Amino acid sequence: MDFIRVRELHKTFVYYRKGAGLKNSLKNLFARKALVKEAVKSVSFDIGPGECVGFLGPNGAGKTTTLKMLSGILYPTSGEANVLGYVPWERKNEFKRLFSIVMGQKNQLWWDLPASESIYLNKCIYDVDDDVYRRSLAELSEMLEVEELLDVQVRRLSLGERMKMELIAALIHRPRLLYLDEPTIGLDFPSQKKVREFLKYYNEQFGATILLTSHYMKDVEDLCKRTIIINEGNLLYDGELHKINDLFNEQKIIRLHFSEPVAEQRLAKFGKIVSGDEYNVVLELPKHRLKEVSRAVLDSFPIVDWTIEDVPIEESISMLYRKESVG
Amino acid sequence: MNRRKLYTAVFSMGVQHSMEYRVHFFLGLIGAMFPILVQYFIWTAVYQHSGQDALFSYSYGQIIMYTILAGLVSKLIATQFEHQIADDIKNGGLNKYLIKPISYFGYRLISFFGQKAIYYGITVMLLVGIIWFAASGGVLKVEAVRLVLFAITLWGALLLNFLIAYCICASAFYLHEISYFFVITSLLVNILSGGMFPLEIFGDSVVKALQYTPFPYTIYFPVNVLSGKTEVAAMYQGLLIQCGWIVLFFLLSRFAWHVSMKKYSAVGG
Amino acid sequence: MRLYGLFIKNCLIAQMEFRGNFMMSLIVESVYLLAKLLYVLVVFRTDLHVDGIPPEGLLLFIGMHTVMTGIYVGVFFTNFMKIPEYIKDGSLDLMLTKPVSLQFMASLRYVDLALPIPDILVGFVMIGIGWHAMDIPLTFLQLAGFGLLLFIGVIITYCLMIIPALLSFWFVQTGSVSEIAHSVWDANNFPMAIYPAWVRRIGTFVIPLFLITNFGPMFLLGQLNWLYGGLALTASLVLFAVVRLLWNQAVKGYSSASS
Repeated sequence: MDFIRVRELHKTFVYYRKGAGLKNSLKNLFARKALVKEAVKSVSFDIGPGECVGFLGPNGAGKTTTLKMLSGILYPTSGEANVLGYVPWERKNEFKRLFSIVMGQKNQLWWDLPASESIYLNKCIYDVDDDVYRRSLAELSEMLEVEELLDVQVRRLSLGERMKMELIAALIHRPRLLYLDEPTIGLDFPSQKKVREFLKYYNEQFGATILLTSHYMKDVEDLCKRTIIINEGNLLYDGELHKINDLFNEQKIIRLHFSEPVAEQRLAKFGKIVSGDEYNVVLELPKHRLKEVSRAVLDSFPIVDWTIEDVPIEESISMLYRKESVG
Repeated sequence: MNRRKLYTAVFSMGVQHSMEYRVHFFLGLIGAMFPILVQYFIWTAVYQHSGQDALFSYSYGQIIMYTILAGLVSKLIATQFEHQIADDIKNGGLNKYLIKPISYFGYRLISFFGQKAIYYGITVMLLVGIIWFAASGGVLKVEAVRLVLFAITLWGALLLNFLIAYCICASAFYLHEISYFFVITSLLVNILSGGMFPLEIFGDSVVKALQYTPFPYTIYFPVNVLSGKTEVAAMYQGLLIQCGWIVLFFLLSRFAWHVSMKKYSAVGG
Repeated sequence: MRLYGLFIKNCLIAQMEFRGNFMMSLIVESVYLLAKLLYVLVVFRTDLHVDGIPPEGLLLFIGMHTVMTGIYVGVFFTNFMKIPEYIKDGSLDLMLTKPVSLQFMASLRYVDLALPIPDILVGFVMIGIGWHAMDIPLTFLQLAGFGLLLFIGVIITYCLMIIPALLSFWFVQTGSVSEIAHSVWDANNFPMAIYPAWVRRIGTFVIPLFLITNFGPMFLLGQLNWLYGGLALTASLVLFAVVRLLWNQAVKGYSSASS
């Protein structure tokens, strides 16, 4: 049985445009023109238990809206979803106890109190047994290396430490499903790494299902085998992250370093010049021309060093966004 | 640089700002109506019960007039920039004025007048209505002199109240948590200015003592000039005193800000 | 409601953190109280009798209003001011995912312990003086009746004063509406008998504002018949149901309209 099952989820909302000035305000008072925005057009996917899925898309693609619908915060306009056997937007308390949502830009911790108080509050809200609570707290804080910080007021913690506390608070009731909305936003690299390692561990150790959105490719690369990409409310891709390149695999990248200045124009006939100056040039070209171009370039230019690479994933994804839906 | 042009621009920005918040202002007026109504009913009950013609030296008509006018005037002269100024001081917004060839005081004053210009107009219209109504009801004897003087003292009250608030704002340089402080001072100033009740309810000695403070000259005095409670001689005297307070507070505010600014720039904010 | 106890505890700890703020809140509320006491001054200086009730008896009404104001600013005020914020910054989203009543979480989370102290203290002193001066026997029945009416008053207060906050689900700027609500609130300072009949009717049947603080003292003075007592009880229950309904409607609108 699927853990999360989403079918043709669709969400529109109505907004009003208001021109500047008093005249337009008056006009709006009497006849507002309703505009409809389709945040999520038609999204379907299934996620099995224990999976860790990355949710990618540019800003405004509909990622957060989808997460909100799957956690019951928003009603969809149409479509269905089944999460752990519940319809999320019925907001049953039994359902709420099974999952947790962490948003990188919003905090649930009480600013002026030590994090342990907010965590204890969540214990009461989620009705966690004393035993389980103590064990979870010890375990989680040890994994995140923040035992000593539990009794420090949240406002004195650094951003990274605060995020770790948020995670503990969100996981204290051992949710089987965890939604993360940009959990590493604004963190420094060591903290990002720690959070990633922790999430990976949590996913493997407890078999928790994780659905994660992030703009840091590294988050998704490290954590998630599977990636779902949406843009403008449409599902563009659903599969392994590294296989995205297969879609565009006809392209390769060649980096060339010269010992003496070379006019760029002379290379233009071999492929698309991505960047470069007199000594360094990066070329993008179709795979099938690789052999022929390599030979020609090596023969006719003063090459010091050269490498052949795949197109970076970020590039592929950007191309994907531009290309709209692929198969 | 053309000063006049600059201040015209600041003034018109103030006007536009007040236009943005016009709904807020009108709802505020409605909000101000309720305490006036409550007081109207209380005074009605009081006068009915006591059976006397005058209490605290006010006749029934006069006290109602006072209540309505004081409510309007205190709404008009209310300053709302304390928090902005405190914010400028705390979060370094002041720096952008320090590096510009403009006086912060001038900027605040002109934009304050700009914000009040429209409300002044609205209040005047309301007042005309009230005065006309009261005159036809025989409560108020309209005298041209009093009207003129009222208009003058009202501007004076606006200026004086601005200066008082501006002085109080200087304390933001020294105090840590400032928003509470503003709530307290503005309420106290309002009470002492006669914004809630005529000062006479505190007893004669208090009225006498308050005459030596600036507060009555923001609400109590203008209202009584209009209602005819103030004697003709006392009217001109009061006007002079009001001017005196304005000058004094102008100097005081310059001084307070000068000292604080010095400290501010020395510490680096 | 262990959770509510925890809310209170957390608030207490948080407020102890800033003793300066605590003192400041005390002072602010005291100054407001002072403004209110001006009315008492007027009452005594003019020896005002309303409906045959002497100034000391009026203290019962003013005291009751002051106590109620204390309860309001302590238990409800902070929360109701925060609801529009929750909606604006999206904190409501997180609360929606908790397995606890959202209305409870959002509207009763914060308790301010500094603000109500002066009001409740002075209010009860006034009630005490009035009680004593009016020669009201201190029996269990009187106390229980007064307590019950006080409780009903609290419920009605909750229901009426949360409405401006609820409006923020539909409108962006609601600050002025709650300002108006607060100035209307102070109409309760006096027995409703000083108002003309039509105001009294509006305040009793349309917006049952006068039920909050008038019935307690009226009961003590023997002016309240059982019919009105029953009315107050029913009104509070009906209002509570209405607010509950409104709340659900608002949240439904919120989650089907926002992004």
